[in-house]
Amino acid sequence: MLDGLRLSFTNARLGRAQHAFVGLANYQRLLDDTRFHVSLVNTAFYAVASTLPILAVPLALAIALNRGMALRTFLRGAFFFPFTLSVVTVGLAWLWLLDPVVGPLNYYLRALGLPARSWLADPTTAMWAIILTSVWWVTGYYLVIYLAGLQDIPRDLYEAAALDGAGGWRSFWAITLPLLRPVFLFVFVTHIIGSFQIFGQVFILTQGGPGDATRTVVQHLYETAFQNFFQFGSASAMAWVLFAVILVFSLLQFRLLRGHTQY
Amino acid sequence: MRPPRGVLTALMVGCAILWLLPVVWVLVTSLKLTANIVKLPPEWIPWPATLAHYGEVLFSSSRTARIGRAFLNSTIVSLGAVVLVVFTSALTAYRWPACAFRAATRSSPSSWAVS
Repeated sequence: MLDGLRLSFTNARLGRAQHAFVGLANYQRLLDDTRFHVSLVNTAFYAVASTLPILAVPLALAIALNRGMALRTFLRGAFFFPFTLSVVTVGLAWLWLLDPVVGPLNYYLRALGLPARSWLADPTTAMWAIILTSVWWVTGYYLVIYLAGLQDIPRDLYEAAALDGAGGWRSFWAITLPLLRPVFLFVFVTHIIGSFQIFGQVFILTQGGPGDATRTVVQHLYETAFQNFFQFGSASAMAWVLFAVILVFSLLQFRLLRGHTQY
Repeated sequence: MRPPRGVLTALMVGCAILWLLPVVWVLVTSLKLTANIVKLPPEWIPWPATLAHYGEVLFSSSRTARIGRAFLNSTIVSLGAVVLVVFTSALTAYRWPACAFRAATRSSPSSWAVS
């Protein structure tokens, strides 16, 4: 990491024997690098837009599963299953499902009389398709975390609330949500960090396209380092900017969700 | 306001089946004849079914050695990572409660619970 920091102050490239110290020039260049800005904005959009589904979908599933229903082992397994797949498998499967011509999704949409679209080639929907894919992929993981959190909430709190006449919604707002705060924090922080590092899904589904509509920071970094004259200096600078962004967000979140959860 | 348990279960089973459709699609596709893979309307029953693709991946002379090597590499990486992560995390976490106890007077214990 520290070597990366040193590298970010040099003009290192593969094949260049001597690295000259260039001070902040790499960072300076990032300020003018519009593609870097675009990728930062895209990544931030992804992180923000995917947060609500990532917080809500697994929570809804976990609460339903926590009722102790029949088949719960099967259900848990079903929702967890996608998480056991590698990102390449997930990406290729969805690439096909979303294919504008031979993809099943568009076929059924057309059959239902709904407009078919080229989801991944349309700048307005491409990022949403990536979000959908990611949510599908990681929901199972967060579901398990939420289930563990839900089972940590003492039963008697609900019983006491029910005796006091609290209905389902009331106990959800007054007991479940506040007591899940540490779990929310974990999901939130992990997800945001993961979002800023998103690369695999994008690389397989759209390669950053159409245009640069889904280009993300890590992809830009990767291409700068390994496909565009091996500019390791610039790439290291990007990595440090990304790190700083993630750090700031994580600290903010800890601040935001800190506080006493006593009962 | 709880929905009857049966309804909820049925709903969840429905969701789970929808959730698994992409996986089923991949599985079904792997069993189709190459000529039948790209076809509209989408076929959800791979008939006539074939194991040829599995045979090719597992036993064809050009690929066998490589997929074997790939599995070996992946196994080494995951085993190594698991051992190291469990070991180093356990060492770190062992010291954690002591710090958390000292900090507990100032910040909330629950904020340490999952961090």
